[in-house]
Amino acid sequence: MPAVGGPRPRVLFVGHDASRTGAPVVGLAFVRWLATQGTADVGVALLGPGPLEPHYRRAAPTTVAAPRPWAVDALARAVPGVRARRPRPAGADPQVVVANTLAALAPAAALDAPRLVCWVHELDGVAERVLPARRRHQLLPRVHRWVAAGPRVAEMLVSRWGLSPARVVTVPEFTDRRPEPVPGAPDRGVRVLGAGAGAPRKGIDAFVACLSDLATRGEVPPAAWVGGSPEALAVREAGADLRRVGIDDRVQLVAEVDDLGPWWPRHGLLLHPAREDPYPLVVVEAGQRAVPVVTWDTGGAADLLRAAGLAHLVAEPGDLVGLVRRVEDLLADEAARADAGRALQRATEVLVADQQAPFVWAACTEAGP
Amino acid sequence: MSGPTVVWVLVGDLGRTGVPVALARMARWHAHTRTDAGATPVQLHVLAGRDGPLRADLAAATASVTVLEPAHRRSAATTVAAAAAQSGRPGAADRVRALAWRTRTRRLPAPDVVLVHGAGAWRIHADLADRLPPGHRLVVHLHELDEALARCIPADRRADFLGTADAVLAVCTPVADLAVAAGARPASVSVATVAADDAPVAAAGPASPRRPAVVSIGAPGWRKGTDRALAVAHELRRTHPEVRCSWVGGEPAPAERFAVGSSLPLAFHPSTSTPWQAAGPGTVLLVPSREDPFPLVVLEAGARGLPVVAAATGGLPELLGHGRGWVVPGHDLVALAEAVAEALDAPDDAAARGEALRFEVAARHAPAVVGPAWLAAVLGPLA
Repeated sequence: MPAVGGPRPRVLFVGHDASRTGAPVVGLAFVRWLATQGTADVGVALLGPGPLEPHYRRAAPTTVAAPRPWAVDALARAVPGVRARRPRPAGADPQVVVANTLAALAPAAALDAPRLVCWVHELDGVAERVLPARRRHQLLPRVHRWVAAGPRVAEMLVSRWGLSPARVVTVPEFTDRRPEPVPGAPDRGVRVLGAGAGAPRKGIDAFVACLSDLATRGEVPPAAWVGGSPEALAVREAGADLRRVGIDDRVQLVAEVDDLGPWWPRHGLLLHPAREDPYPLVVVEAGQRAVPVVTWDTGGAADLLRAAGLAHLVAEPGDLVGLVRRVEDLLADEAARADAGRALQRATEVLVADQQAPFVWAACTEAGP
Repeated sequence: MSGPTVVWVLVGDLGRTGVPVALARMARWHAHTRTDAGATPVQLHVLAGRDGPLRADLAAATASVTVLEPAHRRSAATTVAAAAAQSGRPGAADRVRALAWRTRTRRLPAPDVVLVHGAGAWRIHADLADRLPPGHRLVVHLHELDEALARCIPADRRADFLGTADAVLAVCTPVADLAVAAGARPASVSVATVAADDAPVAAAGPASPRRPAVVSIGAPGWRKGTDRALAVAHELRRTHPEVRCSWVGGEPAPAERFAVGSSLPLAFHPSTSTPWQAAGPGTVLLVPSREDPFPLVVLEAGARGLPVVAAATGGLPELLGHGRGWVVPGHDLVALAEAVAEALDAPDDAAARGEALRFEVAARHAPAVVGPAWLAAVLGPLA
């Protein structure tokens, strides 16, 4: 496979949407970094809208695909072999196309660029939903290089999808830059924070179950789950649980916010009970703020905690009582919280664009097998 | 002699879950009950929103079964209706679906009684309303608690629907209270419980000791408390590593599965019509539900004398009270695990509670006990 030549290769970054979720946020950090390097002509094609759209536009020329009529989508889903191609984004033909997530892979592959890179932010469950095996097998050979968002994704690609390790580079999720402390910043007074889409995969139900169990032994600390539409089924169920236990005045369910800043616990922790999460950005962000994290062994959060010497904060998958005990212990021990926060901060200080984005860029340009 | 009393029984689906199974038991009882001389015979015609494995059972025990939609996909009519809904024309969607469903019922005799069996059948009633004769008796048998009821019947239709019913039957007292709070006339509401299955044949010979086991049964998910069963299994792995924990009723939905490679102490098994085959001495039924008005599996366990540990929901505190089982607040995960451990550690006490439950089930939930009361409540003055 050839390396991409020329002084300023033309790169098109294809994102599935501009939502304020992990992959689009990390993708935006990469686009911003790449645009500031001046080493490439960067363009962005977004397959769906979202609140990050203006940020993408500020970073690079951005095209947002118009939504397809539902009937076309329905036909494409229902009839095998029917592929509803999206219109090509405007601009020069790219030399490199980066599909940011598996959900963006098929439209990105349809551009037939000389080099196709797929940045995978999904694990098996989501991967199967957004790119079923039958379609995946057709697309795998067309990808020149895979970027895995963490070791668990790399393991999926190599061990379960059969890709050559030489075609896979592992780059953990990263932020734009380490957050700066803001004196006098607003504080919601939350001690236990959960964050993510209001869905079972992110564990909103487990978050509420843990706090409900805590309620049986004393007063529940002020807590909040931030993210998810109030109309989402899992959010409604979580609300029903809180009301049933009588802690809906102590535990808030907050829809998606522009800025998570005021919600970060100053004297508490992030509880991250996701059932499947390759390398949760919110855990990286917590670490960079020295906020300790309690989680299950279901993805990159556990790997990050272990790497930080915090394996004792990782419970077995589905072990709600194990989570609760860890939360109780940390809340009761300020010194332990501070130690854990510092350890996680050390482990996450390299997870910023300046240090990680070059590895993604290398996957886009270097010659490979 | 006048013609038979025609009862349309509307049911959301024919899956092997509580609401359809409860109906199948009543239908089977009715089919095997000789009508008293001089009494008007009753014809049950089942209209099911979706197909499912109970269809054959019901077809054998009723005058007819009409299935409005396939089990796992959309019919042409509902595909068109869905298209209309997605195009922003929900009214047209309702009309298309209602027309298709009314067409499927045109050969049925006009009903004297319409029984909406479970709130999940509300949609069928709403779509067939124009097809129903004036003056028919409307009976609603509610099997749902808060969230399930909210999901099945839109808030703005609930009071009107329940308020106009001639009778609202509730499977337990909390459901009856909920029905009144939702708009049913208090005078129309009564409790009509559900039946256990036919008494199992006792195994021949002395029971052989088996590895202690904890089993939960149902469609996995939030309502049935699968996460709680998993939490209990983890606790037991720490305290009682010899205990086998299983869930019968299928795998969790894809969105609720744990990452590949997760080692779970709870084994998931497919749904089956014979979930009790593997249950023997040393088996404890765990019912960790968040919402479960009157789970049939508890009656089935009772019919077999098995001990039951349950979260306090619906009618379970009443059924399992007085030493007939263990009931704990479902969100207290440690208490739930401790109750299971107690049932495992004290087999004599567990057996005594199982026996007390067996007696209660035989006395109050045998089909021959529940059936006549159910039919009388359904028919009302037409009985």
